[in-house]
Amino acid sequence: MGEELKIGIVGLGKMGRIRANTIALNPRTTLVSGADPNAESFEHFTNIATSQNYEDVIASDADCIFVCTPNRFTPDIVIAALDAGKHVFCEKPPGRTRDDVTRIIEAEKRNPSLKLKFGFNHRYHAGIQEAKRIVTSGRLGKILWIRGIYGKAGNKEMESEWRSDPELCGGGILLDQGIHMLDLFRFFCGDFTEIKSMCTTALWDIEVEDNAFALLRDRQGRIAMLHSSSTQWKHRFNLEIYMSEGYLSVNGILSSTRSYGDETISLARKQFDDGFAIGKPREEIIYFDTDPSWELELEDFASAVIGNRPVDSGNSTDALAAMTMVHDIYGNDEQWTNARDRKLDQPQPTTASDSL
Amino acid sequence: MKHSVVVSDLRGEDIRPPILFSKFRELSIEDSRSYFGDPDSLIEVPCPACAHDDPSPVFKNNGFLYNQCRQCRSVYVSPRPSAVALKDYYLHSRASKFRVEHYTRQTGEARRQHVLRSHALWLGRLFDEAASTDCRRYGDMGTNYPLVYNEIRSLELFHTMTSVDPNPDLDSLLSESGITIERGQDITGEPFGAMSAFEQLEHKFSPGDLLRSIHDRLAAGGMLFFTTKTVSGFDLQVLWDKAPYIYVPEHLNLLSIDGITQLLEETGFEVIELSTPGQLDVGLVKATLKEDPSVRLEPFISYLIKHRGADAHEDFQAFLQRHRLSSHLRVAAVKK
Repeated sequence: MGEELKIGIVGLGKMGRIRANTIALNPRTTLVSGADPNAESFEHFTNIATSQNYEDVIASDADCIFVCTPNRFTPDIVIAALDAGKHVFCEKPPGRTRDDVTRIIEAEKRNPSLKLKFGFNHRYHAGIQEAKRIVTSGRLGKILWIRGIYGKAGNKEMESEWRSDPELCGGGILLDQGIHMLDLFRFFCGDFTEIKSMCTTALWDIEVEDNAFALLRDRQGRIAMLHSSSTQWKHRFNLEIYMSEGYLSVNGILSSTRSYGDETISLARKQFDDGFAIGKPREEIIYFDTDPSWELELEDFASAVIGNRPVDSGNSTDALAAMTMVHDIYGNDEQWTNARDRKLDQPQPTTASDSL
Repeated sequence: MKHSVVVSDLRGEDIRPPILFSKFRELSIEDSRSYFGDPDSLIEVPCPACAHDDPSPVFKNNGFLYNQCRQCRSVYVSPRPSAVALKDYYLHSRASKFRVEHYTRQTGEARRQHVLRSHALWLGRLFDEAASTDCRRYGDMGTNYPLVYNEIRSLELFHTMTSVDPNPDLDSLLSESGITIERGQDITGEPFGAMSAFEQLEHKFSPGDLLRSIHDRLAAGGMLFFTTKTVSGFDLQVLWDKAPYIYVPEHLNLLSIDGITQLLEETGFEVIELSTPGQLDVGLVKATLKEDPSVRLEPFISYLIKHRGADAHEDFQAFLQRHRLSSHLRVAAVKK
């Protein structure tokens, strides 16, 4: 492998364009080809070879393929790219089901010299990186518990979007967005072994969940609590990690629209006065002015490919574990699962839900 | 880059008890007359931050002229006492002795709780993040509060801790705590992985020389941590020459944020964090007004200070921190 990577992108929608912009910023990566069934997307990619067939990108001279497609198509394209000898960067979620990821891993094993990385981009946000350093340093003690909330408002249009079509996406807000928080739980604690959960479609006229609540426990007895929502009218990202000597809370996550607010970490040591807790300890709030996550994630992947290093973060083990957690949360709520299955067996509704 | 905001119950009088401060200020001003009273011994200097030589005189304080740089808006004393005269003052003046014997001892524990502990946690966190050196020697320039070493030691990051050019009256205290002492003439040349300079830049003849000497002493990839008072902050912008806590020789350099940033870059540092996590700006203005009701403020500021309560003041102070508008500046930078 040379010092420069030629990259092709399958899926030239929103995520494809974000990845293309990041590829253009990295001196070691060049975008050479792209594919999307929607030819109108080509107007953003006038300087590369474009096609409506993903096979053309895989057959191009690209060293690596970025797969930025709806979940239903993702596994087959990843597998085809790996079997064609291409390194692959795959957006999350890595398919619709755990079996999808298992199939991908089989292809990875058939091609052991190739690198495969999944887009668990939140790991690379400045706030999360800082939180990881703080936890790893041990200066605030051992993790006691974690609480994560990740929610967005959703909208009427999403009722007709591919993300709400179970056939295309395989799940709702939990699989689409909540999977990031689950991945972060693992990023800080490792694997969880026990799950209790409830899911609901509280408002939107969709066949997947719009809210998921879960409690997870690991082998050390540490508990993580998740709420993933698409009826969170004020967008919110909040990851609290309470430790034996203090706490940190990542609030907000920088995005292009800034709708999740500033990205900050609130940080404090526990404070006691003569044995009594001071409920309002001295707290430091760190503000992060920029979001380097896309660039860092790409650089990590490029370095693994060029340097022939293992993919340490966002690898297929991480993808399989996150997908397993998602589907365990779905499966753990029997009432919701049965209701969903009954709904899917029935003729599709024709009336629109109440407008807001 | 990133920056920080601090929320705590720190009060000015915790770390600056009025009676002690008043005595210290009185001694400092008296001593400065005897040590720096000869106008012919004072030296004209360009802006100590950006070196631009286009000053605008802004106010006089106890006979010393404060100028504002038209380029970077730093405020500085010129003409000023020489480096030699300043060294003599800090070694022998009554004010210096008072600082060690009373200020350091009587406010040490409060400073440890409210200031030094957070300095250490901040230093450890940033060192974990940004230092790229295996060197585990820590040095503090001009140590005023030896308790800082107890807090730094608890990080378990450094195997050797050194005080560079501390007040000689602190030598025995530092030695008893296992702190190595180095003075200018004893410098061994062995590099440091991290160096701090808490509240030092404002009273040095040349802040640039201080930063360059730290740069020279740091290992490649080592880190600098410092705090200082910046003229870009609220209380100084509002009070200007009426700030009773600004005087020679403690405050020769009130550098602006722009000026400090430029100076650091020119010295060979990359800034990792630049914050103004001060908690006392509003309280200082309030206390000044209480002490001297004749001080005139802009109408809005006057209204805020006199007619709004603690909640508004607390929120306003948080706003100042959030937007780097407090006069308490702290910087972490890595040697390029």
